[in-house]
Amino acid sequence: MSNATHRWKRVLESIPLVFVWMGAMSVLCMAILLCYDVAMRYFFNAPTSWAIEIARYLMLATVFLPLAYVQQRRQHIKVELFMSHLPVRVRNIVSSIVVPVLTLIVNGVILWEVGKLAWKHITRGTVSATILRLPLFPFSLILVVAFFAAVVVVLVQTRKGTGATIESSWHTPASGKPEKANSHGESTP
Amino acid sequence: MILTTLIIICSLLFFLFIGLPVAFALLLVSLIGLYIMEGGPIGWFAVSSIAFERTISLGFLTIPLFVLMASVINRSGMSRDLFDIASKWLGRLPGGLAQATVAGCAAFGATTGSSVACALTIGKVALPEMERYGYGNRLATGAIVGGGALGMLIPPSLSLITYSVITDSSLGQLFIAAAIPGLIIAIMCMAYISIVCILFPTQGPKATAVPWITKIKALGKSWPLIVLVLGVLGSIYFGICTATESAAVGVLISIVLGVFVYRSLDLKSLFQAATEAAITTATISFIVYGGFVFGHFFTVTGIAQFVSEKVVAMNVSPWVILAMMNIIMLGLGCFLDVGSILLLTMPTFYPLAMQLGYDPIWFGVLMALNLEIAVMTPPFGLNLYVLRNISDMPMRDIIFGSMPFASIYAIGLVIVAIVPSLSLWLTHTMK
Repeated sequence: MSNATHRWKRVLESIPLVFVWMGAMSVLCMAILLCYDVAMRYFFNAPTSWAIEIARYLMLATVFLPLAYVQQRRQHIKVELFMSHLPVRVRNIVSSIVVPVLTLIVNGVILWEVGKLAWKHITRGTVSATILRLPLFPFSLILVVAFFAAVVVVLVQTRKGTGATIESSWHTPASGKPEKANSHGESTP
Repeated sequence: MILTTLIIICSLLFFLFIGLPVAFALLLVSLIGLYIMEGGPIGWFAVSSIAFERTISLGFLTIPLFVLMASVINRSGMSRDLFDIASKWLGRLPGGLAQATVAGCAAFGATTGSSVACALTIGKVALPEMERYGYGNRLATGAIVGGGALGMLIPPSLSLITYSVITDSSLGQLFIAAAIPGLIIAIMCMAYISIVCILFPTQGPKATAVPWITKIKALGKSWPLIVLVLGVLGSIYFGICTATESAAVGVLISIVLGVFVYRSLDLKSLFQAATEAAITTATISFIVYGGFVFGHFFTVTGIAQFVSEKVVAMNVSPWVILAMMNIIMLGLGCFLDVGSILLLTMPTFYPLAMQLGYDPIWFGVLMALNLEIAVMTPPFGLNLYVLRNISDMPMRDIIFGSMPFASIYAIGLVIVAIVPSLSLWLTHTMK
């Protein structure tokens, strides 16, 4: 692989992490906005009409933007208990072909649906049903971007996984140790 | 309708067993179910409207905020201080360090919503100390597993947040309602430890005596926790803030404490904490989102209504139904994580509970208590794995050690069920 391709690959692979940073920034902004609103209401008796609403829409960035990264690191919560009792070859096929393909289908459907929603928001100029009348399309576009990235990550993983499995099922029994079961999002640091 | 639902539930279990991530399994079967029910992909629009509307509900906002608060506090070293205070005060009692572990977890539980985080942080400090004094393996690990589970019961609690988001019940009331049951269970655990250590003194030797002046000095280190609890729970209780706002206030207080008191926080580590919070939030929320879509499918089928009408028509005592619900949840707890259990059961259980006239807050606390048992029983009990990670003890000892504590939670569950005022009294005095 040439140096330039390698560099591009690294840049592309770090995009999910950039999305996580954006999610992190939006958590911090949410905290600031809500505290500001409490302070204005409690100390100055002047609640804002916008802080909570913007904080709510920022939530979309926090929930969905890091998904590509979670997918990339395979940190989604799953049940590992039963798979570990299956023969290695079956396990390999399931975990490197069946699961990624199903994941891809779900991500694809969601991408298609949020795409339609965003298109609706753009073409109709939909605004929020509050005093602020916030245009909604930037927020629905966050969903589109997030799921697009997730789809790309799954595609890459599926391609890699399929290749690896076909190879390993011809040669040695793969040493694919099952990933550790994660918790209620409570990944242990 | 029944057939479709049964097929969907069976395929959900199948997808879960083949290791499809929980969120994707929920979403996939819901998409299939909606396709069958609507005769085409028309019903799929729900995935976008739910993503856009329900994930921005105010209750949902508490998840990243409380996770961020916990993440910031985790960096501070507050857990060490809390265990230090508890061990100085309780160390001389029978099994004092194990009791201090439970007390430390109960206190630390007020800063975190996750039992794993609680067991991990307190466990890391408490386990070496108990090993130093020659505590029995089973008692030591049991205390950490059992105490850690308090993290998810004592508010802020991720299971209560999830329950509130799914059922639209007041999160503020749920938090306040869980406080007393949490403390009662902590006391029960401590009482159990005392009894064991009185009967078998070698299990929990006394710690070295500490002069009174040191004990009192140690208390001085507890004020950051008090400030945090007052800021978060106090502001909810006194009606100053909603639960969501109190979470933001909690973040602010934890940052101030981290920067000025513990001096453990700078811009870089704050950003790291926020990054962790974003990843955790996405992981949890995506499952909750999957659960929303699954719940939507349940509403479309009308199965929840159907089941609750049938069950009510059976004229069985509400207690029997409550017991059945708990048994089903305990069964699911053997192979699913806390969030997934709630998301799978609540679409049917909650309408049924409301039809039977249960109080939604009391019911929520019971469900949270039930889920605590799931985190400490094998094979999916996460707290057990935390212990396995931080100690070199055999899994057998960890499991046997935590069993008595799981039983205490079960007894606590029964007590809270029989005496609703334990959970509801404080909520009635809220402003």
